[in-house]
Amino acid sequence: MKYPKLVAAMVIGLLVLVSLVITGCWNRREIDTLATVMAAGIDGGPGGRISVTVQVAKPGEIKPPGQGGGGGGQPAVAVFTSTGATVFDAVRNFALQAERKLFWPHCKALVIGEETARAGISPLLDFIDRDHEPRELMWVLIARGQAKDIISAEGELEKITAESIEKLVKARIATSKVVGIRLYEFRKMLGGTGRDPFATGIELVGAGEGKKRLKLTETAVFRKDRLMGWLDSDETRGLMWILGEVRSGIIVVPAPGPAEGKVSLEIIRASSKLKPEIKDGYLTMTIEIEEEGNLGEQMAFGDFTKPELWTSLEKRKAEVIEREIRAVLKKAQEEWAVDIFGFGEAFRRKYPREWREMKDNWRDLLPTVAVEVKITAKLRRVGLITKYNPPK
Amino acid sequence: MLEGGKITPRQAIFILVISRLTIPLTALPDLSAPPANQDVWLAGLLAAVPTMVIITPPLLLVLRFPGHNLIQCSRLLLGRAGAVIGLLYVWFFLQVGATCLRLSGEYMTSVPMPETPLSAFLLFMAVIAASAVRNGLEVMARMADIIFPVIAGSIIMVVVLVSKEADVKALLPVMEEGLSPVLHGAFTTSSRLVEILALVMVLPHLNMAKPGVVWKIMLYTVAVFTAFFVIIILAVIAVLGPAQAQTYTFPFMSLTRLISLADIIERIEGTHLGIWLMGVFIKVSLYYYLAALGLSQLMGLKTYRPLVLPVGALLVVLSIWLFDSLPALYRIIQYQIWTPYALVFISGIPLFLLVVAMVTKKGVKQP
Repeated sequence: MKYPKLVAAMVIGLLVLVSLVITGCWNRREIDTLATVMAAGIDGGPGGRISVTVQVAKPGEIKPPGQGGGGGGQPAVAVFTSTGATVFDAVRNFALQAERKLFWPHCKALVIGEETARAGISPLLDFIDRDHEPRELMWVLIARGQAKDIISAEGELEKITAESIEKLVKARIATSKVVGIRLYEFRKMLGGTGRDPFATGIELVGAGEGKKRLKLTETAVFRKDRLMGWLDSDETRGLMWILGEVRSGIIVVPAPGPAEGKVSLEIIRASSKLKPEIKDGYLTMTIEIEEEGNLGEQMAFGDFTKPELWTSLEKRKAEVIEREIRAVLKKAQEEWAVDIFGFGEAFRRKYPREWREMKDNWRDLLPTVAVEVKITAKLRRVGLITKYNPPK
Repeated sequence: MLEGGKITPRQAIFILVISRLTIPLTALPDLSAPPANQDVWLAGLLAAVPTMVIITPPLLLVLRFPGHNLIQCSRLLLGRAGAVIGLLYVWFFLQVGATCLRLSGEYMTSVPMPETPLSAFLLFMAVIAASAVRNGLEVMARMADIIFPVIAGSIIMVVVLVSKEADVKALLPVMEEGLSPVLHGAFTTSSRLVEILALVMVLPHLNMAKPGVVWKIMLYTVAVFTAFFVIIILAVIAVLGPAQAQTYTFPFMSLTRLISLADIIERIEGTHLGIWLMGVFIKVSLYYYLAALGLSQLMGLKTYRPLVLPVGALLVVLSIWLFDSLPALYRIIQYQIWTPYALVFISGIPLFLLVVAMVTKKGVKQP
């Protein structure tokens, strides 16, 4: 009878001991000791110093409206800027001014300043990739101007600017006029052979006294890791067509036939195929695009469902698509010799043997690639009215 | 007999597969071994063939001496010299166990808890493993019975969830550099199946240890492991890209971090932590057990249990002392060092013993 009692005593003693230890460990972090980083921006400073700006959520201020108390008028985020010799150094220097320890797993967006991006972006990303807190799912954006200004801007509908940025990037599907690149995708493009990266551009718009707003405008194009220049929205959509990333959007074409005015065609789905070819030492790339859409609006009178007008609309749509594709090819392929389309990868996949000789002077070869564009653009539906009669 | 525990063939397969899967689930050194590009999965698939070849000598050896394990065989064949070989194997088991123990600590200090001292994790893991080892092989085998479905299910779940981010084109072109680097890779991958030595050490504890059953266990182990290995590598390469995948310290963990489904299913790397800790616990316990068992047989003890604590202490000390840093650990498990080193133990010494047995006509001849 003695033995079980001893065992019971030991078990109880052990439980007490465990309960002492189990409440915490070395890495214990309570929410009220943390500053949750929502977005971060990196700029270069004078003398090669790095300046990091973070936007930190203030949990007390994020309350649903109508609950009274906090929230009203107070910004829901705090912005801190810190400098250092390296990114990590700058991040650690936040400890000198932010009362709480920065907590990175919820960081949604990384904004890099334009000037800094021109000097090379890879060294700036290493810390974010290497540290165990930030996630590679965050969006990479390049600021027109200083990243600091973007991070300190206020969103209109969202209390936290980082949320605004994320929602804007996610809404790119509606227009296909901007891109959305996550950090791991950016890294993949940087590391791949026969591929150059690109990222979303973001800027502050609104002139004069009024409040400035965030807007996704252009696409930043890189040569290796250096910012080369920007694609406007048509060129960006050209890029998306080539990559097969167009999900939706509006294509505006002039009205066909005798009618005057404009017609909006909504893109419903699209896909693309890259077909590289090497013939007698000449490189050709055939881009095959299949697109399907609806007649979304006619700001012109007439019955466009008539077969000949319907086909003419489809033809006009294909022309616009080709124009957008040619525009981006002219800029990126011919002027800058950057391979944001992954042409090099396509050649490597089909011609691995020839690629071994091509890869070292791919930059010189890229502008010589003859690109052929084949577009099948279809119109399917008309919406709830079939034609629009002129007022009598 | 030093231990009366019996395990079934299925439990043996589970233990061996879990043990072999722990390294691919974290370090995945095969990514930077030849062919070091998108063909690594092919090398992993083809590795099944050289694996079956290199595990033949140890299996043939122990099958000649029913009821004896590897160390007993070498004692039987070579006497005192055999004891030296036995010691070498004890060292090897200790080293594998210590490497794995250290890797578990390095993972914990790299990912979830960077400020916690390494020795805390090593001690915790070693103490739990010591209790498993004390309870014997049968208990570990039953654990494997429970753990294997969890690990297998979690790996498949992670791969399915992350498939949204996968780019199948990243796997092309197949055999970019030709066949020879792929075959080289298959060979280096095959040398990582140290688990064959575990099987030939515990063979006397197997139920129905007939030659046919033993070969079947090995065949199933290789088949199941290869299937999971190829799935892991395919997912890692298709999502992270062949060039970038090599840069990750723990590729499969980084892959798990990329899962984000409709903003609901995300931040599930805890799953990876969980399955990996279970796996590494089985592996550390297994090699810990083998080292204790081998040592006790060399010392002629009736039971290995008095050796559990000393061997455990040795294991912890070795795991700290063998490697200065994480890169030092990764250097050793890279194919340049690991392949020749492990092959000496997996095939080299057993082949030598087998030849000795054949020349001296000892043991039961196998048809």
